[in-house]
Amino acid sequence: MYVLIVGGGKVGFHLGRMLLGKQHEVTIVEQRPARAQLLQGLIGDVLLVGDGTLPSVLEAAGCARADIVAAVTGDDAANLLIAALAARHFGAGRTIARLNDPRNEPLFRLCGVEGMVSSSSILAELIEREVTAARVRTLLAFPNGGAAIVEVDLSPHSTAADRPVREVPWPPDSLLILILHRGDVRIPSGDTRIEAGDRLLLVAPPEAEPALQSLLAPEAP
Amino acid sequence: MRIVVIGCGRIGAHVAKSLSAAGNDVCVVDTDVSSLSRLGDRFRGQTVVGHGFDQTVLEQAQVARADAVIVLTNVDATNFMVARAATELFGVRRVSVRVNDPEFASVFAELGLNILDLPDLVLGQVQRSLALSATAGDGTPAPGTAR
Repeated sequence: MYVLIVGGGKVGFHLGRMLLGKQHEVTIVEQRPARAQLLQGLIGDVLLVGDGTLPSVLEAAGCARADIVAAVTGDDAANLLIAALAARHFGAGRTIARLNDPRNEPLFRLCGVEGMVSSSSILAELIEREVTAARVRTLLAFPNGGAAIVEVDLSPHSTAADRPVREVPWPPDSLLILILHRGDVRIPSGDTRIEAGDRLLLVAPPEAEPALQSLLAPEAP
Repeated sequence: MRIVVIGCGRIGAHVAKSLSAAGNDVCVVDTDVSSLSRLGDRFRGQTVVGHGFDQTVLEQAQVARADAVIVLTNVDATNFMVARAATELFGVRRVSVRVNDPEFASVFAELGLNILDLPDLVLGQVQRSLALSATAGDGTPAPGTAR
């Protein structure tokens, strides 16, 4: 897969390094020559120096044949323009734009940007998860609101502790998808035993959350 | 007419002052307070400090009831975003966008923007003035002068 990354800051650099590690073809467009030189020393000959909002620079970077164009500069106006150019002028496969200011999300959406990544929103959600008292925490809510991926730490007071998955009275429409057992990932089957202290990931509708909480993480008796 | 001008550089200030003097209800937006001083003491319109693509700034500038928005900053990406915000978030019909880098002229037009093609305007004037001086300097004596 060919991925064109515009913006060689921290996000662009780590994204590029990760993709190169997975054997993808990568180009990073970076405007600042010194930064580009630094990155070149770190991850190899994949840098193109130039203003990535310019159509001529995007063309030289092979925007039209890119499977993914990731606009990850620190400037939302630049990211919006790059995403618009990639999608509508060059017809690139898929475009992703970084949102530096989450308040720009409605505009990005109205402008038809397909994929949006907001590091500040993600960070805010992670911190909220850490400080929240809720025992059933939402990891990912699907856009239509019908289901979410949630996590719960299995309490020793739960009636489900030390029982095989098939014997646990799961609330309707909820599905256990993953068990984190002392840092190991387990894909559950009906015979898998869940133990107190396990972190459980489930797909469940929002209305099932109270039932999940009383089943898996009840108040201490 | 209510006209919102985004960007108060030399060009933005010139346009805002002229439109205001001609009797329009003009509002000027710039991120920099000192740029707004270019408007001078006699400017009677409204000024707002902030980013032209910031929704709250555009609300302060009452863009929704503007007859036209003229986007005149010297950064093309900013101009693009401001224009999209005025159109998509506030439904302004008449939005004109300054083009700084000639590369964006055709691309902005292709993306549906109404452009003010600054490089091309300058080029046109240069070509006309060269054409004039070429006529004057081609060796033909001007009428009524002796050789």
